[in-house]
This record gives sequence, structure tokens and C-alpha cells, in this order.
Amino acid sequence: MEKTLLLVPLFPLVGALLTYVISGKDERHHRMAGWIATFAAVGSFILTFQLWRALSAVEGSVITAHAWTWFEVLPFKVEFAFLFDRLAAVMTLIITGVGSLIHLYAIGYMSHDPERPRFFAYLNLFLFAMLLLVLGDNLLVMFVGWEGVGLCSYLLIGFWHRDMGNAVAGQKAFVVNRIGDAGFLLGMFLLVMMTGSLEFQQLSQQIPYVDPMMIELAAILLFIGAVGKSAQIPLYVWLPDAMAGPTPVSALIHAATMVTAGVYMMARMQVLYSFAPAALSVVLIVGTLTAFVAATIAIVQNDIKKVLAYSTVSQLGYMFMAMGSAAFSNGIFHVVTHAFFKACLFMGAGSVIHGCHHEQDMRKFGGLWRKMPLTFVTYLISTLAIAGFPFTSGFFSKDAILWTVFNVAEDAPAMNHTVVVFGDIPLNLFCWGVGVLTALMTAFYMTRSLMMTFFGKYRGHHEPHESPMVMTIPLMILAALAAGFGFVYGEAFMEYLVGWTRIDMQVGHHALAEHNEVYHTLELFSMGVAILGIVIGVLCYSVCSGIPKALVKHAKGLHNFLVNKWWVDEFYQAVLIRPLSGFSTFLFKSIDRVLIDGILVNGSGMFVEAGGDVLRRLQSGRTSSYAFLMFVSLFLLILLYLVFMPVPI
Amino acid sequence: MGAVTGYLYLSALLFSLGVLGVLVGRNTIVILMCVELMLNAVNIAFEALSVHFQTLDGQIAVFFVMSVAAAEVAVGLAIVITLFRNYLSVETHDAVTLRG
Amino acid sequence: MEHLFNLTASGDVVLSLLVFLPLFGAITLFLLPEDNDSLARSVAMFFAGAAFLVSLTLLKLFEVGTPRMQFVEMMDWIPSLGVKYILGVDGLSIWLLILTTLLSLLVIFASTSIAQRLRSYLGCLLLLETGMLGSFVALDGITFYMFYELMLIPMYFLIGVWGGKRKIYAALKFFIYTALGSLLMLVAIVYLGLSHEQQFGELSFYLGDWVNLRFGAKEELLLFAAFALAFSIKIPLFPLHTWLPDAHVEAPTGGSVILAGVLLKLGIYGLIRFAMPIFPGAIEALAPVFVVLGVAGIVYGALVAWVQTDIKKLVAYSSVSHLGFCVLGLAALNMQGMQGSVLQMINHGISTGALFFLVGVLYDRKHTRLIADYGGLAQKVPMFAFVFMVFTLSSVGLPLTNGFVGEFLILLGGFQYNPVAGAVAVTGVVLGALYMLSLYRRVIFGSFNEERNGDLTDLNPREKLVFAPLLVLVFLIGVYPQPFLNRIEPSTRAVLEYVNQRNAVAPSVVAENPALRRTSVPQGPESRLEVVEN
Repeated sequence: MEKTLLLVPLFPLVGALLTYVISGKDERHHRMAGWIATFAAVGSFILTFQLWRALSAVEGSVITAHAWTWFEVLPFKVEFAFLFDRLAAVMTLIITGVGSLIHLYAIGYMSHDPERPRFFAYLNLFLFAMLLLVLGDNLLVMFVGWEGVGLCSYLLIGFWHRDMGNAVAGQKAFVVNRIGDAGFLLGMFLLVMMTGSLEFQQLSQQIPYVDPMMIELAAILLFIGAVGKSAQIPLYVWLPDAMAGPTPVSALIHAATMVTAGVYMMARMQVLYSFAPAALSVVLIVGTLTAFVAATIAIVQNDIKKVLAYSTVSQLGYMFMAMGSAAFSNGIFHVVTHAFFKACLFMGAGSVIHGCHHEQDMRKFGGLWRKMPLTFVTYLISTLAIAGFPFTSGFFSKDAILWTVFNVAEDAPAMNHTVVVFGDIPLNLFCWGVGVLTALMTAFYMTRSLMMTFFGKYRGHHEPHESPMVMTIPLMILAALAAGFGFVYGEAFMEYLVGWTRIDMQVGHHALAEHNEVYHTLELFSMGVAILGIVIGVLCYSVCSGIPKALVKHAKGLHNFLVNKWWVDEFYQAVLIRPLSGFSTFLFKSIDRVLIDGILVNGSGMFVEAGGDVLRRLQSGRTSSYAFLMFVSLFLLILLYLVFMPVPI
Repeated sequence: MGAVTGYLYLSALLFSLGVLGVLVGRNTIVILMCVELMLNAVNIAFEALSVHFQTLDGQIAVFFVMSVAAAEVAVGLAIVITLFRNYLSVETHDAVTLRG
Repeated sequence: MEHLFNLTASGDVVLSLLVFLPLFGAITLFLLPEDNDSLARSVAMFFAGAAFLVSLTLLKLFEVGTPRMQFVEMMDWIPSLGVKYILGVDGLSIWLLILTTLLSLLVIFASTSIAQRLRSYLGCLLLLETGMLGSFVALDGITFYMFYELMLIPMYFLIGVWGGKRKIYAALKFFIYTALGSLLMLVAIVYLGLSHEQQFGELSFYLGDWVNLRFGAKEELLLFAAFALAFSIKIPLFPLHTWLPDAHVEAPTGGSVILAGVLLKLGIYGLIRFAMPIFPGAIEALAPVFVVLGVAGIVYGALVAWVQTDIKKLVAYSSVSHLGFCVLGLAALNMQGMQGSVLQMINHGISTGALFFLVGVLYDRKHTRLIADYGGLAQKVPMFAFVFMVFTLSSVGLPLTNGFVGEFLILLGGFQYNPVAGAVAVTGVVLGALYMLSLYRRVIFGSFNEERNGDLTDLNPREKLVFAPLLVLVFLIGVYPQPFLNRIEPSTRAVLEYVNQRNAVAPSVVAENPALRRTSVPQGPESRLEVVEN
């Protein structure tokens, strides 16, 4: 099995190299590129499936593979090694599975692009990096993947690089991610200092004996990395801009896989986080705020991909709410269901965009359900799932998160969530309240996008058409999973993950909660919230279409505030970028050129030059004055000798 | 005041005259001649002291000085000629190219 | 360390061969007719290639796992002054030798754009190569100094003759600035030699003898300062860096490559080779200063690089930032930092050397280095864009490229030395991405100006051959750095252990109270002298 594990990331790497090599060749080769890349992804998926079977065969087993010793500076040593346990299995299956479907879809979506071999090379390279991230046996291999996916994201956002806007968006994504990565690096340094190792196994053994303050600090530093990668406040600004990339990229990288890396990292480091209650509180707050803020922005967006982007940020916030409640398995569960419905939504949106000749504005859509029935049905199912409509997969995962947030103080007495926020409301209840409100908004804005796109009258100019089979088949598979996964496999999945670790008490509690009265009341409550949101959405964008318009008119300030995304980009521009750029210019023009180079360096040169200028006046060029000087000096010297000579002549 | 002192006074006088000539002289040929004068003043001192101390060192030194003086005149006159070719003058204050 | 410099001549002359091959090449070139460019290039290629092969042989024969000097050559050079000719190579210098011979070969190979006096250009390069190689293997102070200064002259001509618009200004500045530092070092070298005579009875400039010298605290600090100043200017350490942007901008491509790729390394190398073992107390006392200046250089270089409009200047300031990393790793005085620092020297040589080659490719075609004059090049020259991307990423320090391992080790070492310094230095990672990617974006992405750059051509086979070995090295060091680290490790460990041991025996109180140290009279020399006499 060890060899199989090594092959899993190797497949997409080879695929990437092959497709990149043929990018210089003719059109016939270009057509092959998509299939090569898809084959690599599918091959990787099949291998993962086998590994998963082998893993499940033996209770409590892990598969490890050692590739080579990356570098060692004794006593510090980093192995390039892989670890395949239940958590990695789940993530790998999602990455290769959903990844394969998106590759397939991309063959159709990118069919007219002259540079698609390059596109598929990047896509496969991304899979490779993502697999390194989840399969890594230590934090540093994870970090390789972590940066690798950032690179691929950068390359793919800027894929259509003729438009400088896309390139800027890609650069923004990379740099913002790097800010998070800096935190990640510092967290790793701290862990190395404390434990001398970065291996997960070693870390979980050592961490209980480390100074709790250092644990908290390391946990927060690593979380900064997660904040960057998983687009949480305050570093979420890159993700909406990242929609400049081709839609399959948005589906794969910016919805289903890469952005969930932060959640995965926390699950992987759960030993660390379970010893860091204060850090978890921070995670909970950040997650909640992100979920809420992103949802408010999503309500007023008109670009279909922007709606989905903010919805992704919001859903990631939910995942971090779960993580902040130490319910690691719940978070991963939401990662999985979110991968299904969000990938499906993005690809549905892509299908619409493809069908409407690259139009993305929802105000130019309408009535498309007739023209694109398959896309419509899958989009509808996924919308219901993300809205948390009863018994879709989104319902189960979101409900589980809200329940653990509600219950966190009781479940984990070790966790200190007694921070009082508003009056007497404990932090977790406050977060729960915001989470429910966000769920309502989610249901509303997703219904809004559905209604604006598929119902009413068509408002565009081009004749829309349904997408080809390569695009609709992945949609259908994902829609089926989005609808049924939670209902059919939800329980089994949770138990599978619970078996993976002993620390995760939350989920255990969740299983017991089936018989809890409060639980059932809350379950009904959130069902009600979801349905309410959907109903309001349907009403506002069909029968009572005057309501949203009236709202916009009367709450102009608020609407503007939301349309401009809380002015966060402008805020960063004014507070960070411009001062920094001004400061750099100051450093260059004033400090470097004038002070250091001008005054100190050239100044000392000029000083010497000026001194020479004074002294050169002695150099009259007249032989007689030289001779005169010579004799006078000689005379003086002899005089000195005579006066100061110790021995008389 | 021994016999040698008179010679030394003469030598000092001649030497000072030479120096004066070098310092105030503007014509390079005059300067050359003054240099010769200085060298010969030294020669007188050598001779006088050689006799006074009853050693041959001074005599030998005089031969050296004379040959150096001959060489110096040769080189000096060559310089004067070159000077004249370049500046059409042998006055020192006409050749001030070295002014800083 | 005592055993490290306890040398016996190996009987090999391979190091002398390596050092003087380029010199023979230069002499041969001056015997050739002046106007036969292709002949001159072939001859230069032959000698540079031979030197490269010799250095590879050296690498192959190099014994891994020992801190001892290898291939040692010992001869009296000026016996009356105690000057010896001592060469040796260890883990610290072996990769720098390879880097030097490789980059020199590539620069000579890529010299097609030199339009005038090619023969002299190549001669200067070969002379420079001798200087660099000699500096990396010399173990005698005077010999080292001679090679060290030998580099200055050909570099001066490379900038001054084949440079850009302000070449005279840049060449003069480079020369005077670096000579100023090295003259101070010469004073210190002479002082050390005389101290040896005073303490042990004979003049010696041999490094292995120097490590036995003991000084009062003030004396040690002053001597160290003289060495450190010379090397800090060479590095260049902030704020002694301003000669670098000028020199880089005006130098021809080959000069820039060698300057960034090898010459700057001599500063770091000199600090580790000479300053650390001779003045362990001073380096420990002054380490905080170096850490602060190194970190300042990282951030300062990155910020200033960000606002440049000239590609070459941007890369030059990025060198200031990168060398700041090297200084940080060295001054952290722990294994991770030192290892990272030495590895990062090689990495920087590869990636920044390649970046200067890339700028040269553009400059040869369009004769402008302004970023604003380019844009959208990916559409016209995809191969160039790809190569540029790889080296950009390597410069940014992306994992699995060479830049990462060194940077990671340095930051880890720096963080262990002082978490705050480590944390500030980590911002260099963010800023590095900022300035390099915005350079890449502005040159490669966006709309393409057909009118202005329509005649651009992609890399020609010769240029591809230049980049190929560098590309291989980028990924080789990134993916499997162990062979490199293995060879470096024993030497850095020996130096570090020696420094720690010396400071442990006579705990450095310099930092706390210089006055205290002065009263403790150095006792080693006198007692040793007696032993010798008995």
C-alpha cells in the first residue's frame, strides 16, 4: 500500500508535466490535454479508493509512506513522508473525486480556449499540491502543499492574463495568502522550539507537556495561516477577486478544496487546539463574524460568481465555528457536503455563463430553466442543500455545527467560553444566534440567485443553450451527492470520523443528542429558518418583486454599504497599501538616495574632494615657489632637529 | 678659528648664494648654474674636512659629486631644450602646466 | 577547530590548478589577436570549462562528513615576512567554488551581446574568476587579501568599460567603497600578523595560527570591526549597500551576474571563515547588531525594491533583502541559521544570477530596463515567461524550489535566536512575494504593446543552454538539498562549536562589561612561549 500512497500525488504531477509539454504543440494535442489531465485525476481517485478500502479493512490502522529525507540539520529533521488515516482518506477522496468531476467539466467549459493545455497543467499541478497538503506526514510537507496550492491559485486566477485585472487579482490572492503563511511559518518555528519536531505523531505526544501559553500562541499563529488560506476575516478579501479565474477553477480551488485547507489543518492539529481554549475562542469569533459579514454582502451582489464567492466565505465561517467549538469532525463533515453543493453551484453557474456567452450578471439572466433544464435542476438541488432545506446534506452538516456551538460550554468544560459579549449572553450562544441569522440570510440570497437566474423573463441578448454532456454529467453526480449524502451516509460518516480520534468529544455528544429534547426543538427551529429564508426569497423575486426595490430605495445607505462590501478593500487600500507604498517611496527617495547615498556616501566623497580643492591651491605650478617651499621646509626641519635633538653636537 | 673654518665659511657662503640663485632665478639656465654652484660649495666642504680629518672619504665623495654634477648638467640641459621647444622660453614662470 | 586547522599538505596541486587555470586563460587571451572574437571566446570557454571540470572533480573527490580542510597546499611564499601560500577547501567553500566556476562559464558562454573589445572583456572575467576562486580557498591572510583585491580590478573595468550610461560613476563608487573596507581589513591583517610575532615569537598570517591569538576586549572589538566593515560592505549589509544598485544597474549582464552571484558571497564567507574563529568573543557580543541590521536589510531592501521602476535596480535591492537573510542566519549563531545562511548563498547565486541573465535577455533586445516599457510578454515570448516565472518563484522562496530550504532554516534559526527578530524577518517573505510578483505581473502579464515590442524574440538556443543548468539546480536543491547540506554541515558545525567552546572557556563578558574583560590579561601566549622554550 505504501507504493500506492506515493503514486496518489504522483499521478497529477505527471499529468501536469505531460500537459505542459504539449502546450507548445498543435491543436490536435491541445484536445488531448483535457483528457490526459482528467485521466490523471481519475487514476488518483481510483488509487485513493483502494487505499481507503485497505484502511477500512483494519480498524484503527494508518498507512504511511516515506519518500525521502528532505533536509536535516540535526537535531532537526524533515522527512518527505505521507500519512493516510481516516481524516486524510476523507479529504483525499473529496479532492480526487470532486477534482475528477471538475476536470471532466472543464473539458467542456474550456473547449474553445486556445491555451487549455496550460490550464489543465495548472489544474493537475493544483491537485498534486493539494494532495501533498492533506497527505503530508508533518507540518512542513503540509506547508509545501499549502504554498503550492497558493501558487496554482495565483496562476489560475490570472490564467487570462491579457487582462491586467485578472493578473492583479491573482497577485492579491498570493500576497494575502502569504501574510497567512507568515503566521503559519512562525507557528511552525514556535512548535519546533517547543517540541523539536514538526511530525504530527511527535507533536501530539509532546504537546501536552508544553507551556500552555506557548500552545495558545502557536495555535493562534497557525490559525493566521488558516485565516489566509480559508479566506476568513480579516484576510478574506482575496477570494471574491479570485473569481476572475475560469469557473472550473472557482469550483475546484476556491470552493471545494483549497479554501478548506485551513479547516483541514485545524482538524489535523486538533491535539494542539484542544489544549488551546483561548485560541479556539478566537477561532469561534472569527468564524462567526466571517459567516455573518460575508452573508450580508452576498445578499446584494449581482454577479452570480460573486454571490457564490461570498457564500463560500460565509460557509467557511461556519466550518470555523465548528472548529472553534472543538467539533473537528463536524467541521470536516461540512467541508465534505460543502464541496458537493458548492462545486455543483459553481459549475451550474459556469454552465449558465457558458450558455449565455460569458455573461455573469444575474440581471441579464432570467427564465433559463426552460433553456437549460439540467443545469436548473442541479442548481435547484444544490441551492436547497446550501440553504439547509430539511434532509439535504447541507441541512445535516449545518445543523450539527449550530448544535455544537449551542452546546459547547456544556460539552467541553475545559473550554473557557464564558467571555461575556452582550450583557449576560455567553459567547457560544451569541455565536449560535448569529449562525442562525446567517442561515436565514443564506437561504434568502441563494434563493435570490436561483430566482433571478432561472425564473422570470430572459433579460439577456444572446441565445442561451444547454451545456454539453461532459459538463452536465458532473453536475448531476454532484447534485445527487448534495441531496442524498447527508441522509444516506451522514451518520456513518460521522461515526467513521469519530473513530479516527479520541479527542473529538463533540461528535460523540452529537450522536447521543438524538434523544435530547432540546436538540429536536433546535432541529425543527433551523428547519423553519431555512424554509422561511427560501419562502421570502421566492416571494421577493416573483410575486412581490417590489419589496427588494423598495428596500433598496429606503435603506440606501445600508445598501451602498453592502454593495461596496463594507468598504473593506478601500479600508485596506487607505490604511495599509497606500501608506506602505508611500513609506517605501519615502525610504527610497529620501532615506536611500538622499540620506544614505547622497549625504553619507557621496557626501564623504565630496568632503574629500572639497579638501583636495583647498589643498590644490598650494600647487601653483611655479618651480620657484616649489623650491622655496622645499628650502623653507628643510630649514625648519634642521631647526627642529637642532632644537629638539637630545644629544648636543 | 682653525684653518678649516675659513673653508667651511666659504662653502656655506657659496651654498647660500646657490640657494638664493635657485630661489629667485627665473631663467632655467641660471638655476642650473646655481645648482652647480651649490654642488661645488659642498665639494669645498668635503675637501676641507678631508684634509682636516686626514681621511680619503671626502676626496672620494667629491669624485661622486662631480660625476653626478656632470650627469645633472646633461639631463638638465636636455630638459631646458625640451622646455624651449614646448614653450619657446626657458623662463620658469612660463611653464606652469602643473598648476592644480 | 584547533584540529580543523591542524593541516598537513596533501601533496595535491589541484587547488592551485583550479585557481590559476583562469589566469592562464587570461594571459593566453592577451597573446591572441585583438579582433578575432570567436577565437577569443573559444579560448575563454576552454579555460573556464576546464576550471569547471576541475571543480567538479574536486566535488567528486571531496570527502563528506569531515570538517577538515581538504586538498591542502602549503608553501612558504615570503619567508622573511612569514607569508605562506596555503590553500584548502572545506564544506564552507566547496559549493561556492562550484557556483563560481559554473557562473563564470555561463557568463562567458553568454557573452555574445558584448559588441566591443570582447577579448579584454573575457580576459577580465577570467582574471575575476581567479580572484574569486583564490579568495575561497586561501587560508593565509595575505594570500586571501591578495586574491580578494585582485577581484576588484577586473570588476572595475567590467563596469567602467562595458557598462551603461553612468558607468564611470558606478565603477569608481564600487571601487572606492569596497577598497575602503578592504584597506581597513589590511590594517587588521598586518596587526594580526604582528600580534602573532608578539605573542608567539614569529610573524604569521596563517588563519590556523591566528585562532590562537588572544586579545583584550577593546582590541578584539576594533580588529573585528575592521574585518566586519570590509565584509559588510561586500555583503552588502544595510546601510552600507548603496554602491550595489549603482554597480548593478551600470554593469553589463555578465558583470551583474558575477557580482550578485559570487562577489557578494565573499562578505558572508569571510565573516564565517575569518571573523568568527579569530574573534569568537566579538562576534557573540556584536551578534545583536548584525541581527538588527540583517533584519532591517530584509525589510528595507524589500520595501525599496517594491517601488523601483528599473528591473535591474529592483533585483539589486532584492539582493540587499536576500543577503539580509544570510546575515540573520549567520548572526543567529546556531546550526539552523548557519546552515541556512551558507545554503542561501548558493541559492541566491543561482536565482539572482539567473534573474540578471533574464534582464540581460530583455536588454539585449530592447535596450531598456524600465518596467513600464514592457508588459504582456507572455503572449510573445512564452518560454521566457516560463523561465522568468521559475526564477521568480525561487527568489520568492516557494517550497520545492531552492529558495525555500535556506530561507526556512535561516528564519528558524533567527526565530530561535530571538522570536521578535524572526517575526520581523518573516515579513520579508510576504514583501518578497509582493515585489517579485508585481515585477512579474508588470513585465509578463497585461496587454502587449505590439508596436513597441513586436520584434521581441523568444530565448535562442544559446540562452536556453544558459538557463538549463540553473533551472535544474533550482529544483534539485529545492527537492533534495541533502547532498548540499551534508557537505556544508561538518564545517559550519565545527566553526560554531569552536566559537561556543571558546566563549564557554572564557565567557564573553564583552557584552555586559567591556571594562571587565580588559583587566583579564591574555594568559595563553606567555605560558605557551615558556613551554616552547623549555
